Amino acid sequence: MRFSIVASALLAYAATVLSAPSPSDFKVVNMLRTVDLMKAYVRDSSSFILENTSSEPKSSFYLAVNSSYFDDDETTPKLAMYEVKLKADDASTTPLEFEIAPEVNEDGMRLVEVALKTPLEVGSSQTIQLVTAVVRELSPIPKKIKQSEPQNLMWEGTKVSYMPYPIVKQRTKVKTADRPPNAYSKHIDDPLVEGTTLTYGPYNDVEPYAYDPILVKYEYNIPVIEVSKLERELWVSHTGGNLATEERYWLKNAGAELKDNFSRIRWQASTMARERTPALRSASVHLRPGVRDVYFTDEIGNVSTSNFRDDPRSPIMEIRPRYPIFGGWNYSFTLGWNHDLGRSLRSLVDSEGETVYVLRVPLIEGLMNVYYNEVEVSVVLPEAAEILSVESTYTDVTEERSLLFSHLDAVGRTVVKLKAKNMIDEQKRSELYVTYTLPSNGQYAKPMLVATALITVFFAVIVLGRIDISIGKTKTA
Amino acid sequence: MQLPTSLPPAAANALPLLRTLTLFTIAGAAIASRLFSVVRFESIIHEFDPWFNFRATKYLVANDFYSFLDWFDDRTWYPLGRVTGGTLYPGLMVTSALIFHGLKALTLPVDIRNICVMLAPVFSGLTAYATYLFTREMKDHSAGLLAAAFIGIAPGYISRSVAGSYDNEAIAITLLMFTFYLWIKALKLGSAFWGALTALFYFYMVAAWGGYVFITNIIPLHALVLVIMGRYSSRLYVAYSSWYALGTLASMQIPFVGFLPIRSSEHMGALGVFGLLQLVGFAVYVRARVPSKQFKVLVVGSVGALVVLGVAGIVGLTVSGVIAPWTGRFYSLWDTGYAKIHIPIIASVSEHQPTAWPSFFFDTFMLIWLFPAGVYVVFQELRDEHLFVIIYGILASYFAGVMVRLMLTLTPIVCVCGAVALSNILDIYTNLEKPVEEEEEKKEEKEEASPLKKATTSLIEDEASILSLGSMSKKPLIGVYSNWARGIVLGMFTLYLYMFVQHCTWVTSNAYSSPSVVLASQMADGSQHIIDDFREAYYWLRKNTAEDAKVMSWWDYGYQIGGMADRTTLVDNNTWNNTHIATVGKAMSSREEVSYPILRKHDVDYILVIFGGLLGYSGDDINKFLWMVRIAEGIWPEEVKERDFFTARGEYRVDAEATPTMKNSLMYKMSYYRFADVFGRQPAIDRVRNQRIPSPMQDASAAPIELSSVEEAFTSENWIVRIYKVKELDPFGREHAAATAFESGKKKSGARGRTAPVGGHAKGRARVLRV
Repeated sequence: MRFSIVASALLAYAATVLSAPSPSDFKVVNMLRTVDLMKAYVRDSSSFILENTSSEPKSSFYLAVNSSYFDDDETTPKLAMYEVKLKADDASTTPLEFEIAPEVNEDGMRLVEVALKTPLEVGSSQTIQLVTAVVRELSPIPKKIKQSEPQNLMWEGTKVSYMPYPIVKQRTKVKTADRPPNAYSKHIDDPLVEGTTLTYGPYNDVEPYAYDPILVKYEYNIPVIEVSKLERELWVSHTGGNLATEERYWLKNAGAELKDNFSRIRWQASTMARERTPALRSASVHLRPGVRDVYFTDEIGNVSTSNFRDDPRSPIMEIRPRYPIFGGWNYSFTLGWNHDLGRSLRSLVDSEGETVYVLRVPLIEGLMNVYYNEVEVSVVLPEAAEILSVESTYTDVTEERSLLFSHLDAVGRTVVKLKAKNMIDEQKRSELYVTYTLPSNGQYAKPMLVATALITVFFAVIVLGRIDISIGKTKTA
Repeated sequence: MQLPTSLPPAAANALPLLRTLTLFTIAGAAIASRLFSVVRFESIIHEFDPWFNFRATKYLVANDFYSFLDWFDDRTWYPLGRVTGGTLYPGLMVTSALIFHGLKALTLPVDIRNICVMLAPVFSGLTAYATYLFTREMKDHSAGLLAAAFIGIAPGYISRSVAGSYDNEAIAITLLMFTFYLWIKALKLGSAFWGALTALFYFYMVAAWGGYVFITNIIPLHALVLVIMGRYSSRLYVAYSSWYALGTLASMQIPFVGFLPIRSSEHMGALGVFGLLQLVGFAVYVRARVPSKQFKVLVVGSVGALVVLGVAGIVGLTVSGVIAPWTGRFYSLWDTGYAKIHIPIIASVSEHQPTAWPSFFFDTFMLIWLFPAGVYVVFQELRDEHLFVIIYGILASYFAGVMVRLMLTLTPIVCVCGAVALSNILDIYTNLEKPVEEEEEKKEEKEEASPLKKATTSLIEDEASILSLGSMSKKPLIGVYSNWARGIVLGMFTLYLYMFVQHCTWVTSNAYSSPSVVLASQMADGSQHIIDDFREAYYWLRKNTAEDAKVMSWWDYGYQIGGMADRTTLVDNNTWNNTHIATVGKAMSSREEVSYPILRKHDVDYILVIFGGLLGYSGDDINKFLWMVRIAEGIWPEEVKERDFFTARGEYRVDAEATPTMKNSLMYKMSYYRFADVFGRQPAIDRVRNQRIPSPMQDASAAPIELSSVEEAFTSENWIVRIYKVKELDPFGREHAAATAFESGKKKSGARGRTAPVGGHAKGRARVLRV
């Protein structure tokens, strides 16, 4: 799927050296950028019109991404989502391939080469959409607050987009949740404040590589939930017609920590007054319709404080952790449920007359407004299933396969495990397709094995029961 | 039951199948009736000790057997640690681990917790089977089935074996009954094979429960009584010798038991009887070969010499310390007041209290009055094995009277005797043979046939005569053989049995099925509301404190903290070190200035107290406080005095009239810290003790409780669990009290500068409302 490391390094080198971006190649006609600070992570989306100003048709262009999104943490970079799309006139979009260069320039940025599907003719233009999501980038200010104090977060960004091309006109909007920001970078009457939105600009004729940092500090009385690990397991059972899902979460409130210790009496007062709080009191999990037998447990048993609302269209499991999760506090839990398999499984007969099953499940479900550092999704197929293909609409995953013996299995069941890093709740839309067949000869192995074992036991008992082990003659009392 | 002769052979052949089915049904009922807690709450480990067993089982499953035996646990009894592998009975954990690995080998995915939760119910099914076997040896199949049904649902046994009650007793009663059955079998057959099997189960029992000493003494006692009654036989010799030799050697393989069987006083009886049997056996052998005159001289001489030697030997060894002296727990078996005076820690456990009379009825219902009848019935026949039942019955009755928890060992024999008595009654009253004429003769025949029947028949006759009052007279159809008498007696007992089942179910459901980790309360609309404060706080500790944090609490909660919060504790339910427990008691009952150095010395990071005042949960630390004081006083009589915690009128109070010692104790302060604030301007009532806690908002003279060396870290939803964090040493080297006073003084003056005079607490309140 991917080039080897050497090849890609060479290619990247060639790309930067041979076709370094020339500022005169393109110009950005109109750039509208929206920074969404309403969630636990930063969602930055831009839409711009790119015009070819060079003398020849171009098949690729450049963007830039902050290098600090990568080297922050060895294992999990901060960049959770990077999508470049081409927007057609009829508003449909097609994703574009891109490659992030390893070199870091003097502004601390790394260039991204985006390949266009069809070369852009001289003088013509295209609408491009760029969506990025960055996690662990928002930091609480101050780091420690009192239990009754509001939580403030700080976002550090740029006023204009960092582009290797001139920008004719740019506007940057910063949206925050329910309250206008209480402190932000200001220059005379720039930005314009409308409700909870700051609008910087418009700026005209921005030079290439312009870098203009800004800070926004805003009140965020919502818990910043970081899921350090999510293990998700889906069991497919053909005999039971059931798809069992179990999710195990290890999470943490990454918001401002408590300055003093937790006071129950103050918490009771704030609960009574229905105050908004940066502590996680409860969370709603939207499940797919048709869900059954929902359970919510943790390492020491059932958590009784949950409430399942069985709305036929959108069932909601409202979970309340054992204790409110304040900044810096941890919690772990398990959430599980059952579905009828028929909702997720389709079967079709291929050209050779064999039945092929296609399982379609969401890659992740569960909590809203969170980000995941590590995600493991396992699909346990029925015994003796043979996998034809595993595909996920979220492509940045590594796949492992293993064999699991369970429930008196004779030949074992295949487990597909997909590992991903840095996902956000928005990627719930991603889907996972597993195509497999169930060869009939594998289906008889288990009953045969069990039957053989039982017959052996019976015979052993019959034979052993007839052996006389007494010393001397047995006397009957 | 003696099969009615009229039964066709096909039906007689079907009887074993019917018996098997009945036994399976009984086992099913036994298991099902223990599942109340799982159905009502969840699959959870109950109470205190089971949490340790569960933790140890998890350790065993994660590691191998030898590292389990070598397990040194540095997370308990900090800083001493505990040689856990050498100080526990591994039978329970090994059983669960074997089941776990067995299921794993069959690739059945069963959680170890569920195995532990379900172990006791499953073993109770086996107990029913063992009781059936045992009672069958005493009487017959039908008595066996009755006994199995009784033991299956008797509350006295259920109290220790509901699902989740993962304690040693859960499997010990099963093993007890199996061992007794095998012993009877070995004695009847005089078989070394059965004797060895007895030893094997005895070994399992030793591995599982400290109560094995009961077997160690009852079997020798049985043998001794048999010898004294002149019932010595080679069968007894073979059975006892093979059991004792193999069983003792095997029991010494358990690290915790080690050399106790040859060194402690509790085991001397078994050894003595073993020796006696050899002598008697030898004497019997010699008598067969020596003329009777010389033999008499020989016996008199050797018996005299042996008695002198034996007594001297035992006294000498006890004095020199080779044989361990009797332990306090042993003395408290004979003198119920002993523990209260000498070992408060034993007395502080509720299950070590003498049994109240009603609880006999509560735990066994009608069986308690069938029990003597059963003993009477076996007395009529008095075979060797019947003696065992009588001895067991007498001993167990005594012990059950001394200690509540020993009700458990009484229950099986009560069930056996009850079943024998009832089965006897049923035998007679369901016998359809009707001697219409020649009544007297037939009765006489019967009497000759069986002395047992004779006794009961006459007994029943008396009963029947009372029932039928004066109208009995001479009519043949009124009396024992009349259908009326049969109908009435059988009807009565059917009713009793029905009530027995009702009672057992009711008791199990209401008294013995609460996990005590989770509390249930009724909402206004009748629905169940779960109070889960313990797990809330334990889980908070588990997730939000340092992995190696040390938690101090009263010893009751040690096992739970270890199991659920997974943190190091200072003392726990093992209670092997009285001084260490007294240290905790002293820290709890002293002033902060005295406690703080103790806390520092033991590296305590958090203190956990249980407080029921807000909710009315009576098992809280303030109610247990006097035990802490007493135990601490036992070690430091000068520093902690129980009298100081009582008012001048000798009352134990926590309200405004509480003594200064009480009010200044760390436990009092931690329990009531900010408690009055919950009530605002209302009087702050402690719902457990129904006393009014001084509230600064109501009464200006009442100073709010201030803590200087510890600070509140977590309080659970209903305030049942309160966790305090021990402060570090003051960076400026001040006393904590001084530092706190300085801080609050500064704050107060600051506040005064800005606003109108507002007290510290009112300020906090205003802050809450502002957001």
